[in-house]
Amino acid sequence: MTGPEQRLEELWGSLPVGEPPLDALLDRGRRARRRRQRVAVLASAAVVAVVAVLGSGSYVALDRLRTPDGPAQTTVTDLDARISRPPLVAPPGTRLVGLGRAAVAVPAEWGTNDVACPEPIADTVLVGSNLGDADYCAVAADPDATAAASWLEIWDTRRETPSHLLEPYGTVDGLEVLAIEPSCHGRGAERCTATLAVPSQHAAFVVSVVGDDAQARVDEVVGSLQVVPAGYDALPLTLPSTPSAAREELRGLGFATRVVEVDTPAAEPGRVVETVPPGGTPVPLGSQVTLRVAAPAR
Amino acid sequence: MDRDEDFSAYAEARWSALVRSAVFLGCSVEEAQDLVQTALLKCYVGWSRVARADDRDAYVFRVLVNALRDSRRRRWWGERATDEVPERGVPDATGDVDRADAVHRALAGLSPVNRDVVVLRYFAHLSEAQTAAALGIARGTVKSRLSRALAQLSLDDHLLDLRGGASS
Repeated sequence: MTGPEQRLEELWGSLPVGEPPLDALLDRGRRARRRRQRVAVLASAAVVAVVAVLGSGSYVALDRLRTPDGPAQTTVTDLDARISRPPLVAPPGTRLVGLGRAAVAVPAEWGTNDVACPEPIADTVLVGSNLGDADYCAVAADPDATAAASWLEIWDTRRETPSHLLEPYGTVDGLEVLAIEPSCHGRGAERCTATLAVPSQHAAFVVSVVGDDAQARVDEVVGSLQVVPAGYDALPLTLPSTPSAAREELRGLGFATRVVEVDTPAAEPGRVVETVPPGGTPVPLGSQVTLRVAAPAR
Repeated sequence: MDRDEDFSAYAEARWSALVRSAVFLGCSVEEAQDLVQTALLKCYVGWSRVARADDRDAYVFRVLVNALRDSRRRRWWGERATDEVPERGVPDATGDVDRADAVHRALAGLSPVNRDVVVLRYFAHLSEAQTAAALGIARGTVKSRLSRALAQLSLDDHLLDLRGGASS
């Protein structure tokens, strides 16, 4: 191989790196820890108070992801108002998406798998089916659109681990929650990203929001994490591409199906293009799912 | 193994890859060494979390990328959260500057976002999922940026000039 990768590999190997200054690092690290421990003692009283309030509700510890300026009591009240009880209720202007019985609420106008090349090009939920080894474009379809897109990616942790950085976070309706707290950075507009996982449901959510109020909007999605009532289940994130196999899988999960043909020149005729409702939507068990299948070429 | 031993073993093993990654991400060798020290220091303070992580590299590289973003945001490399001047791993040398320059010229054809993916995925050997986590981007975006970046690199004239300049 004499391609660019090899030349870069040679450069990589030729870069001088020096020796790690271990003694200095350890010395500075120990001092930083001692400073931090002193601060932690002062803060612990406040933490105990917050945990005491939240411990009585089902949204334990989710306020940790909120900005610290609001009193804990208010947080609990807000969350309580949004707890879903049968029938399934999403906060106004939002729709629920998830895996198993874990779900979060995203703005209702967010699409599903609005991708090209295959990056998100509009505010969208990414549920995997279009995100496999798709064709790439040599140039991003529209870098500005990608930069401006907010997205929520749902991972099935039985297939792939979204991150090894998840840490114990609390519980929601008795189920363990792991998280990576939001981090924000900006090239132009600010983008904030957070990760949540509900191991018992094999569900992980990575939410990334761009815009002036990115932090608050990420917090809203994080704060909406819930367990949908028994009797509901999220539609699969991915389905086989042939209608018969997709049907079989949905039936096996307890859903009725119907097939409609749609004209989508971009898709291979006879393949499942999408479902209605879209993958990841929690629906009552036994409800009907429409498989939209690409019509034969005319 | 106690915290200090564990940390030292990790830092020793990964120092090269971390410094080289930082150079590939746009730092001079000297800046890269400072940046890696800053990142490792943060990791030392929160070592129980690093030690708990299934994959320490993913964790530490995320810290490195965040530290780099912070420093770019401040626009001045000298400013950092400590009042102490970090130790230098090696004295400054013109050869180091040339090699770092060669790296930056070679990667100049890449947009910063594509470059980040190439460095973490290809050179630092993070998995696709780890790269997505470290950069806070979608999985599909990792794939497409990597593929695009490699296509761009294969067309880049600078790479043809590198051999003489870099292997001295």
